[in-house]
Amino acid sequence: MMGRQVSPRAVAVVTIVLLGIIQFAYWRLLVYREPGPPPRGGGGGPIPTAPPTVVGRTDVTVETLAGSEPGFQDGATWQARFCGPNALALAPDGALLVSDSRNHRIRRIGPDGQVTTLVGASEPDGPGGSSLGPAESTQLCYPSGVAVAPDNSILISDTGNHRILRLQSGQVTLVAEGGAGKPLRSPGPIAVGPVGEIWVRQADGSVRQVSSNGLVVAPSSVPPSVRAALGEAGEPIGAVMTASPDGNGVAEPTSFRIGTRGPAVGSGEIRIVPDVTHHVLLAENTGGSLLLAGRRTEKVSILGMDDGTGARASFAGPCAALVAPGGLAYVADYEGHRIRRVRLPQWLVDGGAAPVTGSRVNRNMRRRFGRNDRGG
Amino acid sequence: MALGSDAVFIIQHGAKGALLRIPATGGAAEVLAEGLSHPAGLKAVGSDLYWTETVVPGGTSLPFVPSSGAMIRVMARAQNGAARVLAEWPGYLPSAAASPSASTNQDVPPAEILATDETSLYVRLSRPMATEFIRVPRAGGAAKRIAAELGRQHGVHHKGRFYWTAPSLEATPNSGMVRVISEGRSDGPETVAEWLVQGGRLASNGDGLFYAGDYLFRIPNRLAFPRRLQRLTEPRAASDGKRLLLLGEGPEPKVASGARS
Repeated sequence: MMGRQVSPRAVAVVTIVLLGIIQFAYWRLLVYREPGPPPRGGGGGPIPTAPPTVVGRTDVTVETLAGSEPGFQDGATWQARFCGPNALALAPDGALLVSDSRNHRIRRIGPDGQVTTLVGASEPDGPGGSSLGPAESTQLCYPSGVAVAPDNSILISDTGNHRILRLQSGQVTLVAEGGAGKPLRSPGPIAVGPVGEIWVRQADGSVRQVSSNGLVVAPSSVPPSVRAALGEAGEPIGAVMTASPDGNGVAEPTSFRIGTRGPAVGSGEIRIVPDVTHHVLLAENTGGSLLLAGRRTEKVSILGMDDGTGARASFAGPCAALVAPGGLAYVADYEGHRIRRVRLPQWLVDGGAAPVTGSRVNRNMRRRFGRNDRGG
Repeated sequence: MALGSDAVFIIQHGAKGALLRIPATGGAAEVLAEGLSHPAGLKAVGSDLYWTETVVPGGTSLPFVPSSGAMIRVMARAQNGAARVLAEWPGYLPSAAASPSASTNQDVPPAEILATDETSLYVRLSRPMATEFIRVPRAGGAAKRIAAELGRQHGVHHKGRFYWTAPSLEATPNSGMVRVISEGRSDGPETVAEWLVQGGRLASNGDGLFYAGDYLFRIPNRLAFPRRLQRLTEPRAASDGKRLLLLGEGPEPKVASGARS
C-alpha cells in the first residue's frame, strides 16, 4: 500500500515556518531584553537627549578634521589627539594654529595634514607649568588664545599664568604679565587690531589692550570688529533667524535667544560665530543671525559629535570659529576634543568674501530664509 | 551622606552648600563647614572626610577657559577640622544663562568621589558629553586621569583595581550596550565584560564585582561572559563593602541573594 504523497513544497513551507518559530522562541527567550529604564545616578548610559525641532542647513557640511578621544598625540590628523582645544588662528602659510588648552600646548595642523606641537612642554592634561625660552621647552598653563601678529609672530594667551607671550624665531618671550591685583588676569581669546595693537578678553568678560611694550590698559571703548573677534560673554542679543526643522531653511523662521558667543573671525560682512551656550554654529551679519549647523529644541541643546550636513551635525562644546579661504570654516570643539571643518555654501562664501553692501547681503538672507526676526 | 565611626556626615547640595555632622547617638546637627560651592560625593575614610566642590573663580564661567571656568576641587578635612584642597581639575558647570541643556542631568553631580583606597580617591566628573574618571592622591598632589568615556558612566574600586563602564566596542554605537573595563594590569586597561545593557551601576561587595542593570550580573576578572544572577526592577545597587544592596526592589534595601560566591 502506498503512502500519501506529500508535496515537497508543503514540506519546505512547514520546515521554514518551524525554523522561524524556533528562531523567534530562541531570540525572545534567550536573547531579547526589554529596554532598561533611563540611567539613574549616572550609571553607564548615554546622555539624555530630545528630538530636535530646529536644525542647521543641508547645504552646510561639518566634518572632523582632527581629534578623537581626549589625549595628546601628534601625527596625521586622523591619529592626532587634543584635550580641550579652545582657540584657533590661521598662519600665513595656511596652517591652522590650535590652542590645546588642557594639554598646555599650541599645536599646528599643517596643510599637509600633519599635526605638530609648536609650543609647550608641560605634562599633557596635567596642572601646567610656567617658563620661557625655546618653544619646545616653554611651559604653558591652560593657554586659551592664539593669534598671528602682522610681523607673522604668534601671540599666545597663557591664561593660567596670566601672561601674553610671543613666539618668534623659535623663541617664546614675554609681552605682558599680570596676576592678582594687576590689570591683566586670566587672558583668554586674543586678537590683533587694525594697527597691530593686541586685544584680549579676560575670563571675567572684560577686555584689555596690550601695547607693544607690555603696557596693559582697560580701554574706554572696544571697536565692534575686535569685540566680535574676541567673542562676547553674557547675553548680548535677542532673537535669531534660523533654518527650518527639515534643514532646508525655507520654512517659518524660529527665534531663540543667543547665548555667549565665542570668538569669531569673518571675512566681509558675514561672520561665523559659535554659540557657546547653545552648542550651535551661526552666520551673522548686521541683518540677523542664521543657524548654519547644530541641533536644538526650543529649550534644549542637543550635544553630540556627529558629522554630516548642518542639519545632522552636532557639537559638544563649540567655542571658537575661524573662516579660511576656499569656503571653509573651522571650529574648536572644546568638549569634543576635536577640530571640526565646516564647508560653507557658495552663496555665503560669495556674500561674505566680497566686500558687498549690507543691503545686498540682507536681501540675500531675506530672500532665502524669510523675514528677519531680529529683536525678539 | 557618609558614615563615620561615631557620627553621620551629610552634605547639603547647592551653590552655598554645607557639611553637617550628626552624632550617631542622636542630637542636633553640627555645621562643620558652610558656604561650600556645589559640594558632592562625600566620603568618610577613618577620621578623614573627602568631598568635591565645583567652583567658578570670579563668578563668571567661560567653560572653554579651563583655568578660570568651572574648576573641580577635591577637598579633605582632617579630624582636627582643618580643610585643604587636595587637587584641582578643569570641570564643567552649566551656566545659569544657558538653557537647560541635555548635558544637565540633575541626577548626576558635576563631580563625586566614587571610591577610595589606601592612597587614592577615585573621582567621577560629569562633562557635557562624557564622563572622566580621575585618581587623586589622598596625600595631595597632581590628579591623573584614568579614562574619559562617552556618555554617563559609572565606576567602582574592587580588589585593588578601578573598574568602569564604557560604550561597547563590539555592539553598534547606538545599541545602548556598555562594557566593563579594568585598569591596573601591566598591559593597560582591559575589557572584562561586554554586551551589558546600559543604565546600570557597578558595585563591589569586597568579594565579587557586580553590574546592576536590567539584570544583576557578576563580572569576571578576565574577559568572559558575565554571569546573570537575577532580574532587577530598577538598575540600582550599592555596597557597604561587605554586602551588595539592591535598591528599588522594595521599600527597604535588599541584600542580593546569591551574590556571594
